[in-house]
Amino acid sequence: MDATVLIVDDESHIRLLIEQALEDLEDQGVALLTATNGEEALDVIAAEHPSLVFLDVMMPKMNGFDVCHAVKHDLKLRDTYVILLTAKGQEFDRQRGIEAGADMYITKPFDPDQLLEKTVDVLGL
Amino acid sequence: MTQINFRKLMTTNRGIAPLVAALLAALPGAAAVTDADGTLLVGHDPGCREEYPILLDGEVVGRVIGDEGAALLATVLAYVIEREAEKRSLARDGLDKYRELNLLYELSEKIGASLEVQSVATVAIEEACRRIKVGEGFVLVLEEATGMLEPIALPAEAQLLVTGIPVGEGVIGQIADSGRAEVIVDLDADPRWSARERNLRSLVCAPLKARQRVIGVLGIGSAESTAYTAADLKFLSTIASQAAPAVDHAMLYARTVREAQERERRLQLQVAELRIEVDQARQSQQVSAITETDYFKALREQANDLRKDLRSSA
Repeated sequence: MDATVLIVDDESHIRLLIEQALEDLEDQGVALLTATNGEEALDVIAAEHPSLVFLDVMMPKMNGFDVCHAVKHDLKLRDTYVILLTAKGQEFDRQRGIEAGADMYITKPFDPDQLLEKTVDVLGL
Repeated sequence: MTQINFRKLMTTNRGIAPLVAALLAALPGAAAVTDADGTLLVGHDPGCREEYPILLDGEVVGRVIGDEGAALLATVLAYVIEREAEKRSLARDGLDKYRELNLLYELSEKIGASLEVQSVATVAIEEACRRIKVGEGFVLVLEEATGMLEPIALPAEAQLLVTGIPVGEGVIGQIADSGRAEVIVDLDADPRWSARERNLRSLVCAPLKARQRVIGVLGIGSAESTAYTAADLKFLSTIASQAAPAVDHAMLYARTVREAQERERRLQLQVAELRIEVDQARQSQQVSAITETDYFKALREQANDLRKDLRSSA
């Protein structure tokens, strides 16, 4: 299994938490990549073609909606499964996320086990 | 001992693997990194037998073999591995805390949406059992009239390890009495043990406190010896502190509903009694209305006259 998961968040502790939650998948050949802002995320997505992207919404340089929109409107990348992560209380953003083409929307604080289950499901492990 | 995958760190880790490759290339002589069993991971076998162990928490996790500079590389890698292990340990702790935070967040939302004691208790037990996976959860609430801690009726499939117990009796009763949470691994050896706790061998239990008094207890118990930890106790106490006000409100709500229903029942009885009195008064009024008419009076006089005539003729 050579799947790649990209974790995009400007907060290092959130990236680390998600990496830790998904750590066991590395033993099954899943590569975990990280990016700290929207622009970097787009570069990594274009270069590595990850199967799944956990994408924070509020980020410097380029927000998650714009990254998602760019990915979902690129014929080569549109199959990438995108999960938007946002803080609780910003659920009005959900509609905006759907319009940007996001496949799923998870609010923080998220359930780490749910993230793992969803990743296993999306990657077909 | 912190668990790390040395092979993965040396060969695929995005930060460390390139660093190791660069350091190996920069060494003046040939060198290689092996795992603890001697399997080559990075570099080329230099063909010499000089080995420098890479230690983590006193255990050999790998080795550097080579000539000049290999010892230095082993020292650098030991430092890097130690930092990585610390980072992962902190990340695991952070993840555990995040899980707890998420659980409590969900707990607050769920119990806030319920006004029934049973629903609140069920949510508290379910959330506690998500983290403390061994044993059966229970909630006992204090019946003020009897001083007994009574179990809240749970779904039929739940195995009840505890029955009603007076405050102050047994371990659970004393936890309610003292208001202090406790973890007991071997209940049989505890002098406070009560025969009412016969099904319990190990226990983690926290009081439910609301308005500065104990209104019950939340616990997880096992019929088998179970090594509940201080972290379990802390977690259960946190859930208990979240659930207690909700249980208190739900009990207050249930009491208010019961009292309102009782008042309504009494009112209905009073109305019924009043209706009977009104009916009786109306009847006597109707009788009076008939007996006070001129016709009835004339009839009564005629009857009296007839009685007199009969008496005189006799």
